[in-house]
Amino acid sequence: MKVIFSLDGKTKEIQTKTGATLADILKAEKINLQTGLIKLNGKLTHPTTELKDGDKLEFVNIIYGG
Amino acid sequence: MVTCTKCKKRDAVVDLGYTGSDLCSPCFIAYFEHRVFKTNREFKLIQHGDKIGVGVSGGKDSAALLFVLTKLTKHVGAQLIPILIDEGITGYRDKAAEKAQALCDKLGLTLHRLSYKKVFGISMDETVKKRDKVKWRGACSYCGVFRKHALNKAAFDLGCDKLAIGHNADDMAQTILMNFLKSEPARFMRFGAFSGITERDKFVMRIKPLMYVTERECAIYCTLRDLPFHLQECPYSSDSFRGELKDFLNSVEEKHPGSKFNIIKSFLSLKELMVAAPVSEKELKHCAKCGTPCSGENCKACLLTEELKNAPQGQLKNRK
Repeated sequence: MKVIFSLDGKTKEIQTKTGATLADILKAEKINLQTGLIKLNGKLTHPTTELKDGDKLEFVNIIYGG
Repeated sequence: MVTCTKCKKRDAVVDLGYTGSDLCSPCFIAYFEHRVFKTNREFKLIQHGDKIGVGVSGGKDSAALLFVLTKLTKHVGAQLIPILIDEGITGYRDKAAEKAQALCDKLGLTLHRLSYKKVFGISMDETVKKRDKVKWRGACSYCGVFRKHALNKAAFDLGCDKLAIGHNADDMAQTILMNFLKSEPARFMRFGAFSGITERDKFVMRIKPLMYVTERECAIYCTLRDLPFHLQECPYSSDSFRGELKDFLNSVEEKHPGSKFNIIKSFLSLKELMVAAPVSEKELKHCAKCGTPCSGENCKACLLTEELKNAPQGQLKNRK
């Protein structure tokens, strides 16, 4: 199945296996959950939630340097 | 879907690795506020009748701080005075200030503003243009000193008893590690839930009600509470030692949940021992120019301002 993934204003389509979770996508993208918020279809969502085909996933980076 | 471990009814939206719990939106909000209230009780940060200055930037940490403190101060019986320091960073602080103003409007609070230009005669935009002609310092080296000084001045001039700042558990853990790695044990004595030099003229004691909530939890709280906040990297932020420690701590926390809190707890235990056997510190004086408590003849803010005033105009190249 395919999901739409956004990070820092950049969007891409990701092909993933059925039953994949938000946490699986973050792991594949090498993103540390501690550094931001994960939203599914615009809402804050638990990382172990299973994705559906066509879901829109967004990672909001909250950690900035300095 | 994971069910909330607290109410066992609603879907969980947050996983708190260090507690092993998964919380729904209302239970997370209650948990977050309980942590801040508990910190306040444990360290007696805000008490009845206090006039509390609150440093607000428009960012998530200070937005969460101001919102929780409005609830806490109503309960305790204290007054809140939001203070915004305008560094003079075009396209950055002005946007964040709009969010801070929107939050204050929502809460029915008056936002007090003070700019670097007014206090030091120079904005951060101008500072960055001048600094390469002096000697190289990161922009954060100026801004950190200036912000602390300006916040203290505003809080003092407004007659605040204490100054609440949005330092969270991440900030605390980073600072503790930095002090260890730089071998600066004397700084430990001034660090904690209260910080700075206590009981000094012209100094308003800083308090950290968010010290037991993480940066990520502050962002989650603001999102779930639908608070206005600004998320944008400062254009002058540079790779710093603190930034490296931030990355390191987030990696450790991901693999070993609770590490950030353990660093804070270990530090507080060590500090108790250090209070019993105090580390020698330089005798404190007052800055000959502005009167701020400091260890030398002049405070760091006045030294940096003077350095910039004497520098010829120049443009920094290839450095943030």
